[in-house]
Amino acid sequence: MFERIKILTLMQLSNKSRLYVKGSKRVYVHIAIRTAIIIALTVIVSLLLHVLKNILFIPVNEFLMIFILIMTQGLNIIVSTIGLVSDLYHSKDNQILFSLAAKNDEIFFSKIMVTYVNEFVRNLFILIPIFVGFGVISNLGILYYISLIFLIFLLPIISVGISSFISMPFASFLNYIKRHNLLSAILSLIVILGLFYLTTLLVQQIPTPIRIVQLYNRFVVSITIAIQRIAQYGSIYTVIGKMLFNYHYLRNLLILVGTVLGLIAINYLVSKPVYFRLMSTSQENTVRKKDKKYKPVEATSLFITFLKKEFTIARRSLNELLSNYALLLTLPFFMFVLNYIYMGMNRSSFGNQVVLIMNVIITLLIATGSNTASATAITTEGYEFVLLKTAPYNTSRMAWAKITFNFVFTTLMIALSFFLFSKALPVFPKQDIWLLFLFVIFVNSGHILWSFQIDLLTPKLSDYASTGSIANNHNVSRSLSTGLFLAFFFGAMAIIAFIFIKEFGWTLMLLLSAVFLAYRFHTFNSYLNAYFDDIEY
Amino acid sequence: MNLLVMFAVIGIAFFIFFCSKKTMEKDKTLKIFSVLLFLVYLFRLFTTQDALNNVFNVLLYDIETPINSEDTWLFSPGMTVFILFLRWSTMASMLWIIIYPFFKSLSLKYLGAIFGTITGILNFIFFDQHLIAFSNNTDLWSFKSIQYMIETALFLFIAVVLLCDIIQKKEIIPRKKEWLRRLMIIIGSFFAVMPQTLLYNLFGNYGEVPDEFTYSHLFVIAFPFLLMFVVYYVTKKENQISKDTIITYLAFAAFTQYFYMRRETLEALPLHLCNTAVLLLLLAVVFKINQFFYFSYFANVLGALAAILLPNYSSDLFTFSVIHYGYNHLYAFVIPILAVALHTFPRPVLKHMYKAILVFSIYYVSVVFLNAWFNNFATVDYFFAYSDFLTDMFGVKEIQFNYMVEFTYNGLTFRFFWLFQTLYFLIFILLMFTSWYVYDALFQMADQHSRLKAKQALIKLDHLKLLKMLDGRMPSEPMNPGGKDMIKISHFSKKYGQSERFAVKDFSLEVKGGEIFGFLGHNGAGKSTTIKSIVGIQSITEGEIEVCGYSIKSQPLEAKLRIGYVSDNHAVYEKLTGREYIYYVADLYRVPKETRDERLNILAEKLALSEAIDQMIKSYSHGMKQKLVVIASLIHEPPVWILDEPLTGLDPISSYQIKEIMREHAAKGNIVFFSSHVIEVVEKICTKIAVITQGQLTGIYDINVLKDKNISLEELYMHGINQGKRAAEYV
Repeated sequence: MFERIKILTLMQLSNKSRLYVKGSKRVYVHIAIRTAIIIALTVIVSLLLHVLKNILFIPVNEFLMIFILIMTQGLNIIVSTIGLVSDLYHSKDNQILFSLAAKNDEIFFSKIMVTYVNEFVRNLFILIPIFVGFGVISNLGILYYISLIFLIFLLPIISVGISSFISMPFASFLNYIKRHNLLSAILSLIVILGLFYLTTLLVQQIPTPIRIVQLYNRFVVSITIAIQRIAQYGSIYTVIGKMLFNYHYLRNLLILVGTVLGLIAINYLVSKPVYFRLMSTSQENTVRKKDKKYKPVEATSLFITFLKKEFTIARRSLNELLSNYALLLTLPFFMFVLNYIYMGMNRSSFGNQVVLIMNVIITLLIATGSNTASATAITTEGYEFVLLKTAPYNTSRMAWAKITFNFVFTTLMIALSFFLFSKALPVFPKQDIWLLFLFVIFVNSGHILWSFQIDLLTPKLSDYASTGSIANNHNVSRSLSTGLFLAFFFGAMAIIAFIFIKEFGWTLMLLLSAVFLAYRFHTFNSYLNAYFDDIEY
Repeated sequence: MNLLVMFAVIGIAFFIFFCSKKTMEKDKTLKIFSVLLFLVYLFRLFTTQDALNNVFNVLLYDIETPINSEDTWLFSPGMTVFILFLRWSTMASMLWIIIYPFFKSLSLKYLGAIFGTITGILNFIFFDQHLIAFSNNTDLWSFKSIQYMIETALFLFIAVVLLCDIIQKKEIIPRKKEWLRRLMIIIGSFFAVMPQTLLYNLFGNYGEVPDEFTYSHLFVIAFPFLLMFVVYYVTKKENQISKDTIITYLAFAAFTQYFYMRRETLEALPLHLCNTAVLLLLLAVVFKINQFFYFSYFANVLGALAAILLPNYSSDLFTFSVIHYGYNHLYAFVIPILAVALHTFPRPVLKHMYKAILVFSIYYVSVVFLNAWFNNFATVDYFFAYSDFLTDMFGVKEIQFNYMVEFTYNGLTFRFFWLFQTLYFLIFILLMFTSWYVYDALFQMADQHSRLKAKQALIKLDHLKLLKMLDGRMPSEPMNPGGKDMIKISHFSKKYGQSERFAVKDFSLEVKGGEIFGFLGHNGAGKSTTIKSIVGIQSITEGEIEVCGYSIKSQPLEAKLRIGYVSDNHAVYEKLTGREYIYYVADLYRVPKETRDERLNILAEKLALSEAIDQMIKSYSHGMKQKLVVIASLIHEPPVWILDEPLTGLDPISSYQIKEIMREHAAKGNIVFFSSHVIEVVEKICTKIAVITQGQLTGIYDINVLKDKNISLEELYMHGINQGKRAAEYV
């Protein structure tokens, strides 16, 4: 059994990354760079904890550690659950794996192992810096560092274990709503509106004007109490935190080991009867009644043909659409919460400029982070791209159709965010809101073109055709990095524009963003004309 | 006396030039004299006791004195400006003369000869004024005067030799297109060595401190980028020697600009990052020392950029100190980037980065130690690694002063801020790695851009080739009118990516109208590769493929219009219904609505798909999807129908239906070309077959001939697989 799980795991890992080749120089360089990043992160976290402790006077103790563990691991659980639902139940490689001579639960555990390895690697960049930072700042002893070695391995088991357990009812729920598109959309809308309402309620609890400096002591005490309260409900993470700070070390260690074993056992016992059934129903399709009244819109041009296809597919894949633009949906939340806090403070004119700069950075980060659909626009055509290759007309217009679709959708979402923002925070200058909107639209449209260009030059058509997934897609990470770069670049420009130039600040920002958009448009068009015909499946 | 020396120098130069016959010897002599001139210049630079800025700062004895204080003037304003421009021209010409013998740039030789001779003579004529500018006396026999006399004599000597050479070779009047290039060299070179007091002397204060993103500061920030782009675009088409010459000139200019101001005190030693850079850059460029160069490339560029963005001065833009600071950081920023962009140094690989880190580490350790040592004698703060300048800026002074080691040795106190200095080092290393990624991204962008340009040129060339081949006919007409109803493959070869192996090699075949042509071959033989190249999905490495007389390479749209293709995989959008999918394909082929619906109904009826046509494709079985793809491929009634393994996975009824449609299509005079593994099927419905083995065509057979000779296709195929080309002999 263990041998088969090992073979299955290694097979999936080597399929996902070419780095797992023993002795390859690339591996050593990769490890060296990652190690350097971990060291750098550790230094940064240590500095941050130093600032927290000695400058902001927030206690750096076991409660803070438990609180950070709850937050980071909680986020990990959410991310892993989403990933596992896709990997365990919807992945295309299931068809291959289930045809192999392996038991269902062995396949289940091999997939869990793959997620564990990814989670372990990701955790190295989070846990080591945090743990070592705490150790340095709190001057903890050797036992602490020895415990860390075990924890680095055990913590991902907990988060993956919880995620895989949750993924079963979650997948079942998704299978149900997948068959009810309207219900799915209504539910999503209710969740979004509910969250927005909840956020508004929560944020309005903050007394205004917010005077952090004057009420700093009260602020620190409240924060400390809140952290302590949350830490009490951290269950296993509370146990880990206390163990690391040497409270009932052995007892807590036993609880930790027991929890890990329990999670493995419960996953094994539940997955054995459930996994295969859930996986197979996730891949089933039912024939629905024909909609005889439905008459497709006639296309008058090739561009309209492509656009019509995009809208039809999007209309029938609301869940994918929502997950593609999930980050964009959070834009109104972020804008409202942050600006409520900013507006609640007594600000100088300099403070107002800082607020604008922060808005530029945050809106761009979120908006450009949602352009992953553009970075996989050609890739997700998969094998169907063959159709465009054999068509006797300039099919590069499909690119413009896809861009138009992404542009219309994101622009509507951004406009909605700004509209909600202006309604929820009437105190924020209206002119700034709409100038910021225009600026974000320019930069975001440029980024859509940039992301599309990335995919145009290196589409992963066969990868997508064989897996049906864009997980680990290099173009997505490149699109995200360019978005990050743009957010910081325009953030830096905003500092110059709003702090130093002032009166022509908006003119400079709009001019820069328009130049950026024009440049990206020109570049994209040139690349499209030159390279579209060269794309090969 | 000075005029006497001048005539003697000119005379000796003429004499030596015309006596020395061998060019090789002249070259060597020139190189020796050039190096000597630079050494003499350096000697004077570092041994003269005056503040050397006075060499150039002729208008004001004391730079801080207001411009209208006549009592401080050495000469009349007119003479002052003249001497200032003379010094400027001397500096530019001297660098041309020093660099020319090593790069043999005709333009430098010309400019060095003309400007050098004129300024050399003028320097002798106004020798006294120079001496006054040096030390306010005209004693010709002082140490300084003799030094300057030797320097001027050497300078004039080389210039006259070069002048003789261009006269002898009749290069005195440049060709028409050379004028602009030389004018640009003059402008660039003069800017590179501009006297740092020039602007202040000519215009006084500008009226703004270039700090905190004032307009002048924004200009200072934009200028280096602008300069780099201008130099790059102007020189990118020049040959490598010219590019190397520019970088060398800039390195020398950086050096002379840095030592424009005498740096004698401990605090002024060139140990700040960018000051060290200009020294190391000169060594790196002259002696090709990669370690020094990449140290500047990864460490100094960052430091210089930070200095340009966050300057720590508070004087007017035109003041001497600001111009000095500006030039120093401009060169530290621009030279390394330009040197790589112009290929004087190769693009860095990770190895270079490690070398840069090593040199930086040595530099940093030295600086930390020297800061601790020299602070016993003066207040020094090399690389800001000792004072609280940085920790104060970032509000973390505690980190510096709470973690400190101090000891006394021989009465000297050594102080190390270990935590701050270690963190500073690590952060800078991190920044160097960041700059590595930024460079890498920029290189990728530049490569992408060049590839795009090359590709655009290729597309243009292909179009011109097509027009030439069509010989006056319209691009919509077939290239080969004789091949109107056939597929013609001539010497087709295909390689994938960077692979050395041919997937298909030298494949030639003709398929005529009305034929059902079977394409047989083992797995991986090259069937799909050939088919994908015929339909235009894949590029062609060598050879030509024509469909109905149209080249798939140069007339792809015309050729594709005549092809219907059924792929070996289902190219279907699962979220569309069957009808939507067919409409989508029909739109791609511009099939009119009425024809489309009529054909769809007929084909769907024939293939028994009418019931499912309005269901989502997601719910279709393998066979239904295959039938849908068949309908889609015939919706525009193509004269050439190509099918890649069309019968795989089909039930007997579906298989029969598709075979019937193939027969019907061929009966109309169209071509049906399909690949298959199933010999029985091929034997039953084909009129001709081609066999491909390991990428090579091993035989073309007429099924009727085989039948007449009583040869089984299966036996023939197996023989072909085993014997390769000898299968034809078997027939």
